[in-house]
Amino acid sequence: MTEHWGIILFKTAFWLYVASAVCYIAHVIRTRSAAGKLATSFLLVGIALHTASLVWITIAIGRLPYLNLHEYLLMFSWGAAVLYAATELMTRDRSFGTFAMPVVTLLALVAYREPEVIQRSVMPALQSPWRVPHIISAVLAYSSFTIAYVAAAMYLVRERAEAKSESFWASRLPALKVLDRVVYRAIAFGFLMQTILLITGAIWAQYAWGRYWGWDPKETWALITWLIYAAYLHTRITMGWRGRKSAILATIGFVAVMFTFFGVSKLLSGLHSYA
Amino acid sequence: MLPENTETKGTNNLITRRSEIGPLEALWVFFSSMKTAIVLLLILAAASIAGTIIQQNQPDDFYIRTYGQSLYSILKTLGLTDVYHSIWFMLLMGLVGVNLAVCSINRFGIAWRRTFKPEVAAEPDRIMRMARSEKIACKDESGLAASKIEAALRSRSYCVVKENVGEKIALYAAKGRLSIWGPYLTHLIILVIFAGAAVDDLMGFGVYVIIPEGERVSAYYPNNSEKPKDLGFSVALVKFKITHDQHRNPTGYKSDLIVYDNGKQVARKVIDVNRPLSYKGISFYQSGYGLSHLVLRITAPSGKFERLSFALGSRETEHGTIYGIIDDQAWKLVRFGDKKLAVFVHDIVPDYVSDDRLSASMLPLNPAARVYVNDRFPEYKGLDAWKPLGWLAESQSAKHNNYEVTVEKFVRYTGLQVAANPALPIVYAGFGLMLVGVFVSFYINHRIIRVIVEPADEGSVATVGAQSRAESDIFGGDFEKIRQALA
Repeated sequence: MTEHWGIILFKTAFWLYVASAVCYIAHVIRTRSAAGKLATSFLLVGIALHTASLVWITIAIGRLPYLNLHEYLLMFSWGAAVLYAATELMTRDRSFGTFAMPVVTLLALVAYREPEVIQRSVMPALQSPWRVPHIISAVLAYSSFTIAYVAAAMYLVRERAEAKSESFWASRLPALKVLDRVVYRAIAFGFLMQTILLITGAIWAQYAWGRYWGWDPKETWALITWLIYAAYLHTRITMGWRGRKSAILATIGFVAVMFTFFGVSKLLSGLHSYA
Repeated sequence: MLPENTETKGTNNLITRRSEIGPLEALWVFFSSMKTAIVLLLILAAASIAGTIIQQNQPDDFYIRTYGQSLYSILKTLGLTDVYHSIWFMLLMGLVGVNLAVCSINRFGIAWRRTFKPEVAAEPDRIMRMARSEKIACKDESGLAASKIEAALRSRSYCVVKENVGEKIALYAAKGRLSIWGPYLTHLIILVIFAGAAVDDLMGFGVYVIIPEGERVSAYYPNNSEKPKDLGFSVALVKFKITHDQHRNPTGYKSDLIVYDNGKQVARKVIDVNRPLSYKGISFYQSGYGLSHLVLRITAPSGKFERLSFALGSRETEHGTIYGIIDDQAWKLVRFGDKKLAVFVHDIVPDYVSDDRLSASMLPLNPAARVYVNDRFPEYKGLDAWKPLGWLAESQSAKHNNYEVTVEKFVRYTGLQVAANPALPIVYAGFGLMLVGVFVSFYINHRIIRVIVEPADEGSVATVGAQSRAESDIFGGDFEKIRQALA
């Protein structure tokens, strides 16, 4: 069994995401539900194929695809698609898709551009039972922070539109209160996952290097991300921050997520050099 | 999460009274403030960023090359070349710890009362201000109505407390009270993990130790110390081996280790990355390897033989690690009576395949030495006096003028991270409890329903109010059940 068919499944899923994103945009422009239903259908079929592709690839190469950014994005884009679908299901509001699906598609595109998986044995440092919970919690944490960011951006767009009395976005995006709550729910879930990510990483590091914390750039940035979202949660829950201020803090958190994910590997040197 | 707006009033009162209180109390108030906590979190984040942007713990010349002498002096003075061990960073962590401790102590009473001694009676006005509230009229007299509501709430798995307030009957129902302790546990556990890390920092150690095959170590040099410290036992390396796939990608770095205590073998384990050996609280982690020395056997025409040992060293290059002789001179002289032979090791390849391809990889899987000999040394030192024997891998030999040179062995060494983390069990327990704390904080809802039943002209009127941390209305089913009970 080779991973070839898995990659074909993923490519098909990618084009379904593209179609879905186009339909969501059409849905919000024309505010007609026919395009919206089509968008959701494309998304769900896309997720089904994407899931099948990940299962296929994992079985074919005998491990989760995580050895480099491209491999990892196969999973990251899947997580973002699934969590977006969950958001739509919970809020029953398709206008999220207008912003969320292009982001999902963009993540999938980076994986699509170089979909070949690495054909080599896994280096000894990565051979640990802790890697599965570590990778899965990373996928879920980063995808829910992505959804939180998208909702925060929509919040800021709609708030601005309302302030300037521009009816286009003000009438088409979800209500501010709904957006605000989606940001919170996504961050609460992401925070739990980020906690699992840090803990499994620490235990793994203890087994591999004899220390659970070593201020390596990757782990430090994962902690910085955690601290920023902790600040978001505290300002919201005990200081009553809502709306704009919260949305801005969620955006700063997402910048930290992106830097942890892309920036650290590309710009800083450290032990966590694979992905 | 904790505390709801109604519960924060106590803290606000403290803050408004600040002008009337002593300095110690003021300090207490400062550390119990949420603003202090947020600012500390963000400063900690910013300080951590500094430590990732400036490379840490590099040699002086690295910083001088990168930043210049004057900027380097500033960085060094500010502790920015070793942020995470600088005094101000420790101080910052200490402040975060104090903040956590003060907040935890402050909130203990609140959490305790909310869980075990809730205020049952409440005015109808206050109930009507709760997140969801409703007045329900009932034909039954108030006592019966209250009992019916109590039964309805119990059937929805609420804990209910009933109290008579004059003619009125107050009910307090709660569910998911564990959630009150979620944030409490989380914050307390962070303190525990901090304490564990501090203990490990002070009482534990982590050093890099090298053991060549066939040798043993019984002491290590603590960081920044010239004085060796005894392990209390010794560890010997039997063999180091790299396993690999068909493309010569490494799949394992295995050290076969034996532990001797009081001269007796007490443990033996083949360790690998991620699979350490632990003995008496000290763990050995696979973290490096290399070639230690090369042993040649020189056999004279008479049949007598001598061994020569060449120390090997390595250097990192952009292509990988390269090996070479690090003895003062790359040649050695062996004497057999009045005859003598000079042996010169010209170079080393890590993974010999053939004379034209040389090395198949950068891993020392099949090291080979290119050897030259000279049986007229030191009278003839010219290049033409040295006879090449070609590349010799392990157990290969070559002859010159009836002298036989055999590569008896390339002795490998293993690099072990030797570490003791005495607080590790506490830290691990902290990790587990932390997850429980965060989960409970966000995914168990503390629900409170307050009811006051008052006698009315026809039967009674129940004022029902509900509150939870959840930001959506989750009480629909509860209210429906109460309405049914009173209908």
